[in-house]
Amino acid sequence: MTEELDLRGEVCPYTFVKTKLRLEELDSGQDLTILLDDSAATANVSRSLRSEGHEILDLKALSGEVWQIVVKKNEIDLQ
Amino acid sequence: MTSSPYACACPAAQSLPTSFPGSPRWPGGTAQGIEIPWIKFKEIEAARKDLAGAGLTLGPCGPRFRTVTACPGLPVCRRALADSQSFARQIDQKFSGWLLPHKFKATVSACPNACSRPQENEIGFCAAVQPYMEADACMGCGLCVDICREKALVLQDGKPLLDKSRCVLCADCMQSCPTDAWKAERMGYAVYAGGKNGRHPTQGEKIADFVNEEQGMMIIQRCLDFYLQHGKKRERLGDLIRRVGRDEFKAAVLQ
Ligand code: SF4
Ligand code: SF4
Ligand code: SF4
Repeated sequence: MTEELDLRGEVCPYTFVKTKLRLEELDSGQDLTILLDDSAATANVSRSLRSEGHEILDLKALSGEVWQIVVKKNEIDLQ
Repeated sequence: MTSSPYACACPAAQSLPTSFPGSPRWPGGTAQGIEIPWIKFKEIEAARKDLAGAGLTLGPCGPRFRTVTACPGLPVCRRALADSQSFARQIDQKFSGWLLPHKFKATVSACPNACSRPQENEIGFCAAVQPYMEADACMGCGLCVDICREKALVLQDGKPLLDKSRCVLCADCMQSCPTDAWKAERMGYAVYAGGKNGRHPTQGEKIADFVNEEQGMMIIQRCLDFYLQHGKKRERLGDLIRRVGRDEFKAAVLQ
C-alpha cells in the first residue's frame, strides 16, 4: 500500500523537510505519494529526493494546480 | 569576503574607535570593495602592507581597469550555471589596474538573472545555457512548461515544445525535469559591452554568445587594445562605441 503525504498549502523548505521526515518512517523500497500545489516546490522536492538517491516513479499534474510525485524510498549507503 | 582577515591584519584601522565613522565598512555600492576611511596619509604604506599580509590589495581607482565584481555563482547560488567568482578573479589578475582613457568596469554573473548587472559594465559576462530536449527521455509531465517563467514552452502532443525567441537561456527547465530530458546544447557566457551607470546610464549591448573563459579573456584583451588605440581621454567605452560605430568595434573585438 502506498503512503500519502499531502503538502498542499506548505511552502519551501517545509515541503522537503516534511517529505524527509515522512520518508524516515518508511522502509526501504516502500512508495510515498506526495501532493503539492506549486510547480516550483514540486521541482525542488523531486530534485532533492533524487539527489538523496530516491527514485521518482511518477510525476504528474492532477486537476487544478495540484502536482503528484510518487517516490520509492532507497536506503542510501553513506560510505 | 569577510572583514575578519582585515581586522586581524591592519592595526591602522583597528586602532580606530568603532563608534568613529572610520571603521572598515562596505560602502554598499556596486564595486564590492571594503572602504576604510580616515587612514592618515603617512600610514597608507603601512596599511597597504598589513592588507597584503591578509591577501587583500588596494583597489584601483581613476582611469583604470577597476576591480572585477561577480555574483556569488557556483556553488553558493542554486541558480548558478558557472563559477563566476573564479572567472572574475582570473580577469582581475590579468587586467586590474591597467591605465586606460577612463574608468573601466567588468563583472561576471553566473546566470541570466544578472545580479551583478553585466549590462551596466564596460564588459559584462552572463552565463547561459541553451536547452534541447531528448524526447525519448520525456514522460510528458508538463512540469518544465509550468516552471518556465518566460512561457517559452508549450505542451504539444504530450511533449514540451521550445519557442527559442522567448527563451532567456536560464536552464530552469533543465533543473526541474525529473527525468533529465533537457540537455545543454550550448553553454557559456553572453558578453555585453559598453554599459555604464552614473549621470548618463546606458545599457551595454550584447556582442557575443556562449563564449568560454579563454575566449572571454581574448575579447577583453582586444577590447582594451581598441580602447587604447581609439579612445579619447575621459571617453567611456560605450561613448567610443557610439562614436566609431558598433560594427567597427565588434569587427575589431570579435575578429
Ligand atoms: S546572477 Fe544568477 S547565479 Fe548569480 S547570484 Fe544572481 S541568481 Fe545566483
Ligand atoms: S531555459 Fe529558461 S526560458 Fe528557456 S525554456 Fe528553459 S526555463 Fe524557459
Ligand atoms: S519536466 Fe521533463 S519529463 Fe516533464 S514534460 Fe518537461 S521534459 Fe518532459
